[in-house]
Amino acid sequence: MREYWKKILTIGLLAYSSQSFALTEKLTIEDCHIDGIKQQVKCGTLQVPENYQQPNGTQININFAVIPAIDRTQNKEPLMFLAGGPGQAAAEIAATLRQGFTEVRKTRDLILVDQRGTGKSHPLQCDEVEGNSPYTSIPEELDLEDVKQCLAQLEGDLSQYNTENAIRDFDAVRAALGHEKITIYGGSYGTRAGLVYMRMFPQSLSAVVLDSVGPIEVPIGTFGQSSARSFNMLLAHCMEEESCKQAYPDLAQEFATVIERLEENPITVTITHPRLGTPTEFVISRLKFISTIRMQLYSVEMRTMVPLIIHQAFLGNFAPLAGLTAAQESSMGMYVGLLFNIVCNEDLPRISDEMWRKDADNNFGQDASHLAWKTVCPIWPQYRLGESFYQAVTADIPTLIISGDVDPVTPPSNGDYADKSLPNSKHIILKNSAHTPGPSTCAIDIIDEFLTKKDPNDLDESCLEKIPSESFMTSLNGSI
Amino acid sequence: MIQFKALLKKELKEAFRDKRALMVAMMMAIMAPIMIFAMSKMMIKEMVSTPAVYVKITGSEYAPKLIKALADDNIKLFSDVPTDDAMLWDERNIQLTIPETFAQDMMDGKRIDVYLNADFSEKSMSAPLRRIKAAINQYAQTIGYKRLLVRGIDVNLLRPVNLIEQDTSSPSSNFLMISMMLGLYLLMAAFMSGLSVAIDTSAGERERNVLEMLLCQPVSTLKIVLAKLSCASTIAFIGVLLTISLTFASIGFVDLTKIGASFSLDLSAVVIIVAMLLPICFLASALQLFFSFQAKSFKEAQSSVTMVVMIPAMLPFIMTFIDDKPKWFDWVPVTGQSLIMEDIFKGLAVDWTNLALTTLITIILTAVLVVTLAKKLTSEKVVQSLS
Amino acid sequence: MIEVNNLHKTFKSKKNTVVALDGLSFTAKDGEITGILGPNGAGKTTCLRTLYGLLEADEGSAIIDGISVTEQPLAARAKLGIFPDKFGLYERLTAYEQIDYFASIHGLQGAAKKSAIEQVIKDLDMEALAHRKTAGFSQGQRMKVTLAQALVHQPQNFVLDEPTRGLDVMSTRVLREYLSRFKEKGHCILFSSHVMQEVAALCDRVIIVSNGKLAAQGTPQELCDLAGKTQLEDAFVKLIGSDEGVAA
Repeated sequence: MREYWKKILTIGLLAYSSQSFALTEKLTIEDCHIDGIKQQVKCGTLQVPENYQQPNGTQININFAVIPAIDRTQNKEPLMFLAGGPGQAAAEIAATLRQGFTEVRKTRDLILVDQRGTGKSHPLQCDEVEGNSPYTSIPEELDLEDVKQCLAQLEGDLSQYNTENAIRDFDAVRAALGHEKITIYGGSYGTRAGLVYMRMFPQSLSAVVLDSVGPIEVPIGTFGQSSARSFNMLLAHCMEEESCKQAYPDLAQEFATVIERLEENPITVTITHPRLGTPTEFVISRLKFISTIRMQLYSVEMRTMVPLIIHQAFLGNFAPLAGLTAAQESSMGMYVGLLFNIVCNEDLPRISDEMWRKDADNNFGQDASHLAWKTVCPIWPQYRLGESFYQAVTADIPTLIISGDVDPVTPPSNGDYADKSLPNSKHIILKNSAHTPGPSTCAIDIIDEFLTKKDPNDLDESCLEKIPSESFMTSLNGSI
Repeated sequence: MIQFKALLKKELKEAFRDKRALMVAMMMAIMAPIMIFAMSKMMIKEMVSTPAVYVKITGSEYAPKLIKALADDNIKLFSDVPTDDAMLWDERNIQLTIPETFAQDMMDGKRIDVYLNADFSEKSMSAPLRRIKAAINQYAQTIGYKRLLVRGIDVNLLRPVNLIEQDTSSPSSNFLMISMMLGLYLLMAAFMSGLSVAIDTSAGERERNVLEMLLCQPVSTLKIVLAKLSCASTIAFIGVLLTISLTFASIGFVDLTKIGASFSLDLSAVVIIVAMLLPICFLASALQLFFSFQAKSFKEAQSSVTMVVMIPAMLPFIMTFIDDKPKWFDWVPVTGQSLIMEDIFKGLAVDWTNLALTTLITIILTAVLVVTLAKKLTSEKVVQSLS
Repeated sequence: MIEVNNLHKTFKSKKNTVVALDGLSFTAKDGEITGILGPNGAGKTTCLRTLYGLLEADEGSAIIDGISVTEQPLAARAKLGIFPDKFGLYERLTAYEQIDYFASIHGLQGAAKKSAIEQVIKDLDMEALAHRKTAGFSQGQRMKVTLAQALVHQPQNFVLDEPTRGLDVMSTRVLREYLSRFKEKGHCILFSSHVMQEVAALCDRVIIVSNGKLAAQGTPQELCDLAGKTQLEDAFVKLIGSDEGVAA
């Protein structure tokens, strides 16, 4: 059960922040290899106090990686990447970032810090439970015992694994590496962290990129409306494309029918295990179906399969769903302990019943995304941040805000909040793009130009026009 | 001292007034950055930029998404070729044939044979063809993965073994070719720049009947040789300095980062390299004078000295083909310097012992050549060949 | 004063052995012009090169102003002004620079050097040429430059190897006049030639060399008397015992 709730809860945003704390004698750096990068990079750790109020108390090691700039002669400020989640470890996705940020990395070091509670920075992670299969377990049967068992495994003072301390760590790494100023790129929850960084250490930052914003004013956790918006746009785009319309003329209706069927009872089918090839039971519930579809809405590539999945499910074929489940099984790890620790304490308390109700009033998953939070958070150890944490950030730092139009978790309206409160910002919306489109061909050029010019209002945005419209898989064998 | 000053002054005056020899001398310096510039430009173009490729596609209407996938990689239909490039692409004549059954076969999940027809041996075609292949393979692979996925099969089954490569070279040495080329050029510059001056001042002067007059003067041949050596090595050294500075100037115009490369040497590295090449310039000029004075005529000097001198200049080049370098390469002149430059370019620490040793041997060798030559100039054999 | 005593010089190569000098002795005195006359291959150039110290005699000695060429070649050369057999110029230098070069080699410097150069330029009447590069100079002009560079340091002894070869009449006259003036000042002048009139007109004493040996010596008149001929040319032919290699 536990394994499954971890997967299904990959619903967080991506954000991050920091506080100056330079203890260079506690810094170690060495050459190392990171999976997926052939060349050596620099790996390091910095020792910081778990509780910054008690500098001599328990110490933890913050792990980080530096991907050196290709051309180091220009001495440009490095770019620190603030990972998403919360619960994503920046150094673990180094290879993907290295690829995505090629343009930026030509002249800037990339600094990837594992946020405290993730990766090799005192990870808050639970062991996988033997015997749990993602094919037979369903979200509806989320087992609180598993969560409690997980909590029991977590070490340290959980109240210190908050966003503000994470930002203090980041700024300490910056100082320890000897950079007076850096630029930052935050994606998803990383934008939340970035905004907090901007408030806590504005003097450390020369430029900020916020990609798919989780503004402080908008609590993380209510994804009902935004998912429905994203899903409805997908349906509309399918109807706009001739071949998709032809293949799935009644897609919306078919989706409603599948949900209807699943609401009555979960369906159990026997499939060939996607990996083992042996006969396996596959249980499909409403929440499982919706959350699987919802996960596909995050990326343009996966969205191409959504109409097909719905149509096949309507026809009673759940093999595509099993295939996606298998794909998710091997996808990126999320440090679930940290995810709940932060969201349950920093965001959930800000969500009123009225907000929950409004969010559930949608035609896609209703309250499907609420269940996990509402089940887990009540038993999670509590801490509270001061009221000042929730004030809109007004730091006067050049800031580029990026949103993907069809993003299911951080819709363009989120970016508007940040754009409104920041005095020197520009909000760019990429059409037909989903969550964190920053590393896409068009956006990365704009980001690179911005990091150099540091003027968000003087950028070449001509490529925005050329982003192609969405296209979809119209049969089990592909599309023409 | 008055004598040496006068000798040197005259040599330098002559050398700097000899426009032809100077031009030859500086040719090296100018050629190096141009070559490096051009080669890196070409490499960058090969490696990163994706210039438009125009393909004569038959049956493009049967596979619109494939055509779009190609277009995303800047591979376009021949019908869209701008008139300027039409000739070129018509000549290259890359043909892609898509069967009319494409759509049906795709739906049926049958293998679709698409034909790529071109002259694969043509060098200029390799990049376009590689890109076409990559784009089509990528397109096909994506469809293949999705086909498996929607059939409920884990796509990782297609990759039973995943090889993770870990390169142990130091992070700064990920691209060395430019520096290696510069290293070769600097050594070549040391040997080539002073060549024509050295020949002119030795075999040339003898041919012009001014050498005898000089040998009859109350001045030691050692002074004469030293003056000529100083002059020729000055020119050689200027060639080296020009090469290195022009290369630096020109390399700034090449965006090496596009190919994941960088060219950066800090000042101290440059100083070490230049200081290390100074004795090499003297050795080169000494060798040239030595052989040139013994040649029977100016013409012979030109050909034979060039030949003799090319050998040490080519050493580092030959060395790149030797995998297992013998230890003595570390301290033999030219190869020693070359290896140290290699280390510097790789960002490794300079082996000061080797540097000192190879420099010392270079200087000793130069001194031996100078003394021997000075002795030879007093010999009757040389005098007799004067007329 | 130049003294040559019993010079022997043999050139050996694989094919053959040539005896160039075979016990040649003579003296060229200060205040006199001494001419060495001999047919081609008689050993004139070998003899002079031995004087310059370019060649080392197998036997015998050459002494310039009391300094042995073999023992102190540089010191001996400092006493010499040389006008070589084939003279070339540094064509990329001006005449002045070229003279300056040789003056410096002889250790002149500063004001002394400057006045010495200007003096020799004036003496040779070559002010107009002085600051032109020597490339393209006529044979006469080249001769003047060579003369100037050889004499800029006012050597006590002056050796010329076939100086008038290739010169036109005017240039030859200039040379002769200059040599006469130089002699007046008490210098010792030794020059080789095979041009009879020149030797007859210019020389106080003539040394006739043949087969590496001294064939005869004396004033032109003495030689004519010795051979019983009225013309030096006839005397010469008689004295060397053949008419081979004699230029009129």
